[in-house]
Amino acid sequence: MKREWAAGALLLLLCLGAWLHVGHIDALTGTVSAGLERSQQAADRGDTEAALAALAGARAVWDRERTYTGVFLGHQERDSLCDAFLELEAALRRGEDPRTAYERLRFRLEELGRMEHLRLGSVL
Amino acid sequence: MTIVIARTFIIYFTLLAAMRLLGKRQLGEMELSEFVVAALIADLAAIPLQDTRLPLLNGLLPILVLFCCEILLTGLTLRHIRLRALFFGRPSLLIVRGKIDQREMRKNRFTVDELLQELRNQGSVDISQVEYAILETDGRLNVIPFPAERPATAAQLGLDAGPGGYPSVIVSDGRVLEANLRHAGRDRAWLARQLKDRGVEDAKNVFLLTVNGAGQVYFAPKEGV
Repeated sequence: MKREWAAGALLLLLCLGAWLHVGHIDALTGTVSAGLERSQQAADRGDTEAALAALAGARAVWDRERTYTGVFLGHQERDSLCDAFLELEAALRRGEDPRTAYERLRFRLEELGRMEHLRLGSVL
Repeated sequence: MTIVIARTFIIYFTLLAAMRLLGKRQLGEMELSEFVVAALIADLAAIPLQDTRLPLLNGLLPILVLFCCEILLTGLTLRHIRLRALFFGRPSLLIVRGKIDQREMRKNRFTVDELLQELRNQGSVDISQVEYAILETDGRLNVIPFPAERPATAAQLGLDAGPGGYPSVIVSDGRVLEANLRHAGRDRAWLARQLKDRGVEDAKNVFLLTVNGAGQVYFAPKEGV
C-alpha cells in the first residue's frame, strides 16, 4: 500500500510541477513580450537606441532563464527564439523596417507559451 | 511538460485497451500492463539519449508517469477483482473436459494449429486426454490432463517419499552464508563437523555446500586448490 501512496504522491507532484511550469513560462513570455512591446513603440517613434535598449532588456530576461529553458523546453524552439532576437537586433541596427522581425519574435514567444498549455491541439 | 504527461496518459491507456482487444496470445508471459510499460520504456529512454536537442526531461518524465501508472493500476487491480478483469481479462478455458470451446478459441483468436502446438509443448498430444486447457491472462496456456492421464504421485502409490525441503546454500565459493546457516537451524560447530567429515579444514576450500530440510548435505570441494 505504501508503494501505491508513494506513486500517487509522485504523480500528483509531477502534475503540480507541470502546472507551476506553465505558470512560470507564461510569466516569462509575458515579461519578454512587454519588453518587446516597449522596444517596438520606441522603434515606431524612430528612436532606435531606445528600441535596442528595450530589446536588450527583454533579451536579458530571457537569458537569465537559460538553464530553466534548457531543462524544460525543446532546444530547437529555444534556439529559434534566440535567432529571432538576433534577427530583430540586426534589423534595428541596419535601419531596416523591423516590423516583420518583431512579428516573428512575438509569434515565436506566443508559440512557446501555447506549446506548454494543455490544449487538445497541443496534446494530440 | 504538461503535454508530455497528458500524452503519456493517453498512450498508456490506449495501448492497454489495444492490447486487451488484441488478446492474450500477444503478451508472451507478461501481464498486460507490464507488456505495455516494457514496450514503451525502451523507446522513451532511447529517444532523448540519441537526440541531444531534446531535453532529458522529455524522456524521464514519461518514464516516471508510466512507473506511477503501473504501480497504481496494479495496486488497484490487486484490491478490486472487477477492475482486474476489466484491465487484464480473465483466464479462458479453451478445452473443457476434453472438448474444445470454439467460441473461446475465436474470442482469443487462437487457431487449432496454435492450440495443438501449445499442447505438444506441454507434452500432450491427444486432446481427449486433456481435461482443461486454460489460457492465462499473461498469454500462457496451462494444460491439466484428466486424473487418469496424470503421472502417479508417491502418495497415490502409497510410497514413503521421505522428507524433502528446500536446499539452503551454506557455503558458496568459499564464503559461509551465515544467514542461510541460521535459517537452516545449524551453527558453525555443525559446519565444522561437516567439513571435518569430508576431510576439509577450512570453508574456503569448499565450492558448494547445501543442506535440505531432511538434513541431506550436498558437498563439492574447490578444484585446483
